[in-house]
Amino acid sequence: MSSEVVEIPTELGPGQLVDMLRTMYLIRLFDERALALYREGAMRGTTHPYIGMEAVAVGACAALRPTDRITSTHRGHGHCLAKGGDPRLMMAELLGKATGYCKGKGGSMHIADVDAGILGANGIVGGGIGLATGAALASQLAGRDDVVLCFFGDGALNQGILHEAANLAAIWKLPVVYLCENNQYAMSARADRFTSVPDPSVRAAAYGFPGVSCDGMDPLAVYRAVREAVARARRGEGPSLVVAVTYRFLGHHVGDPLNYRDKAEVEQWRARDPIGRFEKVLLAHRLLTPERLEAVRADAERQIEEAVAFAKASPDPDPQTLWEDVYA
Amino acid sequence: MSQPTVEAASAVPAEARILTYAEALNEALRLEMRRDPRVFVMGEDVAVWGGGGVFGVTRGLLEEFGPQRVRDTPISEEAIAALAVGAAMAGMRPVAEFMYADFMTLAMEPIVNQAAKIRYMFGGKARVPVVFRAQEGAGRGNAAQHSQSLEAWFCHVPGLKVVTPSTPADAKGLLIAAIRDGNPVVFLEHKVLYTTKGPVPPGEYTVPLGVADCKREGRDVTCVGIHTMVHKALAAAEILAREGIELEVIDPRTLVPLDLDTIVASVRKTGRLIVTHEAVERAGFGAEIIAQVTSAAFDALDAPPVRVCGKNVPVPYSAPLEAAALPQVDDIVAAARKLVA
Amino acid sequence: MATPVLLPKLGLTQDEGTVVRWLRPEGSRVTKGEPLFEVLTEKATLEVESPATGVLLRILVPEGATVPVATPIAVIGEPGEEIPPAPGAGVSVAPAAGAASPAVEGSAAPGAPPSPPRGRVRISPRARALAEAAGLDVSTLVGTGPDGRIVERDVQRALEERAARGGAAPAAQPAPASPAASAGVSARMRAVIARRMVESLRESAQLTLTTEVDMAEAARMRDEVAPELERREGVRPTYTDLVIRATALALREHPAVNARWEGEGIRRLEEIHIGVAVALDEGLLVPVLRHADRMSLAQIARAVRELSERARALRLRPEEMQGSTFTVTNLGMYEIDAFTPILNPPESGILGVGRVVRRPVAVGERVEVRPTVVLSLTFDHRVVDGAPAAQFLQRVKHILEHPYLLLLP
Repeated sequence: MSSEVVEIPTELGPGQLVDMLRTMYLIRLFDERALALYREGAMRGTTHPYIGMEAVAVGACAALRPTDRITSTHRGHGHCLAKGGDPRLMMAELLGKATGYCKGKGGSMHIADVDAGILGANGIVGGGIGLATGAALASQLAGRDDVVLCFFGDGALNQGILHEAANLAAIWKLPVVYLCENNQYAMSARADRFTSVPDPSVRAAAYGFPGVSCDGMDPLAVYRAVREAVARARRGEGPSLVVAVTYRFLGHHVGDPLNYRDKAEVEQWRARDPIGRFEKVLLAHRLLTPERLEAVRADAERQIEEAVAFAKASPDPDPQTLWEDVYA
Repeated sequence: MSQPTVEAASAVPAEARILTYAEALNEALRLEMRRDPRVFVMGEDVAVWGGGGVFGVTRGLLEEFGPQRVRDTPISEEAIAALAVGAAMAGMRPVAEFMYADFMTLAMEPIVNQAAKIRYMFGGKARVPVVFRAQEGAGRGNAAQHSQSLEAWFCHVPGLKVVTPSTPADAKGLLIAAIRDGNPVVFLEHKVLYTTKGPVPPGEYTVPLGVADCKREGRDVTCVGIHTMVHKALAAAEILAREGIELEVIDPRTLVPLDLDTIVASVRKTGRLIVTHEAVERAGFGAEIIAQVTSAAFDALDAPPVRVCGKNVPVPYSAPLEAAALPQVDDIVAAARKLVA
Repeated sequence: MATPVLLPKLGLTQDEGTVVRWLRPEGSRVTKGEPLFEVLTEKATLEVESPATGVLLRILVPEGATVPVATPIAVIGEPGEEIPPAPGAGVSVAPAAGAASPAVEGSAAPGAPPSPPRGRVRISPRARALAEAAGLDVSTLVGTGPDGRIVERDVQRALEERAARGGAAPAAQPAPASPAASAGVSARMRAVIARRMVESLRESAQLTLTTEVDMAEAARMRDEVAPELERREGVRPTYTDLVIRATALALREHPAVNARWEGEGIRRLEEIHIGVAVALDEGLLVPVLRHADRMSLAQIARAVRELSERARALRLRPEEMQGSTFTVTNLGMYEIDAFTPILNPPESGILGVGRVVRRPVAVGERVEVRPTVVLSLTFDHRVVDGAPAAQFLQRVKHILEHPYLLLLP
């Protein structure tokens, strides 16, 4: 596969591509670090690692403008970082500190930065779908041409809210892109058994808008698919469904017994590690040297360490803040 | 912050076996499924995950009863509830699980508009023998959308019964009773209680719905608690006893129908009432208990009734904030001291 | 510590009572459970047991005095136990009926300034209920609860202090004779009777039907069975007993008469309990034969005898005077033929029995002299119409004229 010549979209410049790789490193390192913090008892609740899926968030967000917005899921660290989220503020939030994105009130599943266009991770499967569709409506009403990218997983394909929201988006031609990260499993539920069609992208036809499937382990494939969908939305032609086929290398959350999938399958997917593949593509296209690549990775590592240090040094929230922000 | 330790109290004889709350529920399901072929279980990750259920309540059921009667579902809470109602009307006895009570919000339509009302609307010609199981509660840093206690919502819907066991022995007996009840029962467990242990009699037995249990007798203050607050009240009672203040702890066990008589008898004795639940204070079920007691026994009250409940905020994530948002042992102790002062 | 003896509450609506007689003198040793005094309530005299063992240190309320329920009327303890002396010699407790216990003078807590009088007293419901039952004026109490609220312990403390202080030492007074006590009795009883009579007439639609009953057969039957019954049970059945039995049987067949008007409709009563009016010097009492329809003639005779005796001695228990669904009243002994008895609310029927006397009656074409009696049935037209009432009365007459029916179960 290393001899494969991958075509790189011409509008993506070298800097942008390297940034994409850097972001993939950030995501991977962030989630690995979060797991470590969890195991050492510094982090509470649980965490949902995005490890293995980095290509989807990065490829998709590369197709967005800064003024475009996203909604995220419970497995949302990758989305947040890919959209430009600050790892320090994210890490502080994971540790429940006053300096976190949500002042320690939200934790991993509820990280949000509305000004930056991140309309929040969500603890309810499919919870972001209705929100994203409503945000798209707002854009339309305001006469803006920004687009909303809605991340959700294969688990949310069967939530009723998707049906209702998709229909509305279709009839109103709302500028929303429904991006399904099909990582094959919703906790222990296999996508191929629990969804009525083998390729979920065909469901878009039920609503009369385009649906495509793409390789979720290749950031460029994801980029291309999302780019088309975003362009369509921006043209006022309405929603699209993009299904990115990917895989989470680790469990659903910390403590997942993983007795519902076999190791051989995991190994198969690990062999297609999106980071390794993208490194090879960039190297092959001489967009960076091995040394530069190493430097980029080291830089990402430094950023994450800094984020952890920042978080650990930050104070717990003031008890008075218990009562704040219940209402605006 | 470490978990507060919770010990289950029970009036069951000492020679009973010690089981966890989750194991006791598992036993209830197993016995009922053996006894009645109409009983089946469905929900998210109830069959396969980790051997059965995120908290182990459905462990091993798939092996014994097979995939028709132990069904994993997609993440479709509204459909989980609606299918359960339809199957119940057609003669089955479904036990539908919601992984977190918070997710029942997605299933309110089939629970509230259908399950609760069908028998009434059809003039008594239909039955909906369904149990909706879920777990509530906070204390683990699961944040606002995974920590709620929503029993008050269901108490507000005529046609539903609402059960809240606090010990393993009660949990098993109440679940068997709920499955046999023949009505839609919202059976609310608590995430922190799953690992608590207590004596549980073997074999089939029921704890009747609508009967409260006095978990500790006392002369000075009546304290009615739900779920973990029963155990926090017992801990408070120990502290207060050293000061010569006797706290009587009542566990209603079923909220609808409520055993008001037991609570009133206690208040007639003590003249003072505390009601404590993790659920948010405002419009919580504690208000209902107090309203009923005040109506029934106004003359017996020597002080206004007091609520020691969750604060009117979403449950925050950070440990010190979460602890401040929930009622604690010290809050009960302080309330009791103030009542007798 | 000395134990106060409180006037007990012995009936649902009773809120005061008269101490009729102290059965033990002050200074004597008493045992818990032994009869200590007699109290007269609205309708009956009851014996009350001592609540404690010890010496009857002080009698606070003398015979003949009427006080509210829960008033301390005596103190039991051990000699030498503290009872603070009475505030002043010469303060006497009025022996007449109707005296309420005096309000506590000054504040309950020594040293604490009296609370300024205000329109609303801050007091817990439990404390208020206790204070009111004991006749304690709440506005004189000082509260130790939150914000100065009066709570149960404040009332309890005030009651204990009042018991300890007591009224004047009644030993200094001559013990009033029983006429003073019975003067109290009859005054109260009359008041109750007066109230109930007027209420009955005002609130129901009463009218009276009469019928003449040929009692020849009944008299013959009675004469036959009376010696047997007297030998076996010690009682001879009276005409009233026969009428009661006939009434009970007829009520079984005419359930519409065994009913009452309740708010918005008629409520039929499942069980038949017949009140039997007993005349006293002071007034009227109506003991009740419960489940009269299940009682045989012998049982009725025995019960009526026993209840009447106790009624005259004012020794009926409250529950024996409650719950009747129909009443029978006899004025025959005063040579009354017929009358219009007043309903005993909430009943819907009352049967008046006149004198059984030999009268000329037509039998076929001839005139014979036979014992007859007039039965007067007053009924409530809200509950029963004229025809059904008449049918009921007709049935009573029929049973009495065919008296073997009285002997069937």
